[in-house]
Amino acid sequence: MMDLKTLRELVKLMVSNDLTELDLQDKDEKVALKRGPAGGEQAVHLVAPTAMPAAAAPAAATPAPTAAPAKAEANSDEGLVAIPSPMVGTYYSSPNPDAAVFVSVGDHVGDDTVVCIIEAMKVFNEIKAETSGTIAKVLVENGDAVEFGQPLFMIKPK
Amino acid sequence: MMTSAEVMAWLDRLLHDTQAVRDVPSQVSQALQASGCRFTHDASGNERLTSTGIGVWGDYLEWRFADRHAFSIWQQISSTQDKTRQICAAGGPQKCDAQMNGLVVIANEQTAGRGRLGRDWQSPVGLGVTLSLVRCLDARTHAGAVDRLTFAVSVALSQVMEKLGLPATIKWPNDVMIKGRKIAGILVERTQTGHGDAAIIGMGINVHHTAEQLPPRATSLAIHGIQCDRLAVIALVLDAVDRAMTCDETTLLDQWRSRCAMLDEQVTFRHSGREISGRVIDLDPCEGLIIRKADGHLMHLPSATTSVVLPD
Repeated sequence: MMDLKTLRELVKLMVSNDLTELDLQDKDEKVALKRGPAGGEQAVHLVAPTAMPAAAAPAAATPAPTAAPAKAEANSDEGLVAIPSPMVGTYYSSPNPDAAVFVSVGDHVGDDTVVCIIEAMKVFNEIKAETSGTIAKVLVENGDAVEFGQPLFMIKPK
Repeated sequence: MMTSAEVMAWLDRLLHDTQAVRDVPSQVSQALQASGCRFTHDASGNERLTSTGIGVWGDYLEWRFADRHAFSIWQQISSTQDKTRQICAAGGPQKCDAQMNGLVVIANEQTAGRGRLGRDWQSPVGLGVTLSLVRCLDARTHAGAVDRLTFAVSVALSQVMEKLGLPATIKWPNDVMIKGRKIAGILVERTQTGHGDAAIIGMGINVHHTAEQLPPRATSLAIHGIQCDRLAVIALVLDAVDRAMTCDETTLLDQWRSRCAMLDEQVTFRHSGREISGRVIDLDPCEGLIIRKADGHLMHLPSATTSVVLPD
C-alpha cells in the first residue's frame, strides 16, 4: 500500500512544515516517521500492517499530498503538529449539517477526541486527534475533498 | 463503460453463487477490487469472491434495498445503537428524512458494543455483523413494541441461520443459538426522532470468529464450517427481518414456538431482582413469556425486566 513515492512526499511534507515526528494510522497499516534536527539523519520507521481478516483495505489510490504550504506559513507552524488525513475522502467538520463543529481553534483535544469525519467509499470514519494539545489551525473546510496525508489541523502540543 | 448497477448485479451473483462464476468482465473485477473485494481465480479463469471490502457495502446495499432502507456505514464507532440514537436525534453526516424509518447503521468495528441489561457484546474489526435498524412506532404499534420487535427479529435471525444450513433455536427473549451456543443477539431500544417515537433494533451476528475470539457459550458461522461473507449475511438479515415485520403474528408465533428451546421446560428466571421458576407455556408477543408456576398460577414475564438463570 505505502509506496516509496508516498513516503518521499510525506518526508517532504515533514521537512517543509519542520515536523520531527509523523504518525499515520490507516485501518490496516501504520507508519511512524521521525526526523532528526535539520541536517541530521532521517530515520524512517515502518510498522508492519496489522492483520485484517475479511475486511479489506480501501482502494490503493494514494495520490501525492497537495503542495506543501508556502515558506512564510511554514515558519508560523513552528512547534505545531499536523493531524494528517489517514485516507482519501470527503471531510465533514460536524456530526450532521445542523450541528456544531467537532473542534475549532483554541479547543483542547486529547488522543481520543473525535476531530472530524472523513467519508470514503460511503464509509464514515471518525478521525481521532491521536495527540493532545490545542487546535491552532483548521486547514480544511466542511465538504472538502482531502488527500491521503494532507494536514487537516495543526495542533500546539501540550 | 459499466454502470454501477451492472457491477452490483455481478457482485450479487458472486455473493450468492457458491460455485466459481464464469466470464466475470475484467471491468467488474477491477471495480470490485478497487473497493477492497478479494478474488481467487481457478485455472480455467473462473472467479470466486473470497471477501468483500467495506468500501463496496454502501453501493451494494443501496442498490439491493433502494426501496426499503437507507444506510449509514461506519469504520469504527462505540456502538451502532449509540450512533443510531445520535442520528435519530440530530441527523447524520448525510441528509436523511426526519422520520428515519428503515435507516440501517452498520459498524465494521465496535469499541463498546452492548447487549441487553448492560452486558458487553464483543465486536472486533472484520469478524462479525453489527447493525441497527430504525423502525418508527405509531400509536397502534406502540404498546409492547420492544417485546414484539425482539420476538419478530429472533424468528428472522433463526431463519437466516437455517438458510445458511444451521438449525437454530431461540433462547427467549433475544438470543439465537446453535447447539446451545449463542450465535446472534438482539437489543431493542426506544428513542425519539424528529418525527416521533421509534425503536432501534440492534443485531449482532458472529461470522468469522474462531472459538478463541469468542466468550464461552458463544459460537460463530465459521466454527460450524459456514464461510459466508459479512455483506451476504447483512443482506440475508435485512430480507428476513423485513419479511418478519410484515408477517402476520399467528404465523410468526408458530415459527417461534417451533424454535423455542424452552417450551415445556422448567426454567428459572430472574425477574425484577427475584428468582422465579416455572414451566414455559407460551409467548404473548406484547406481554412476554408465559410460565406456569409450581402453584399452578400463570405469569407473564416481560423481556425488559427478565433474564434466564443458566443452569450450571
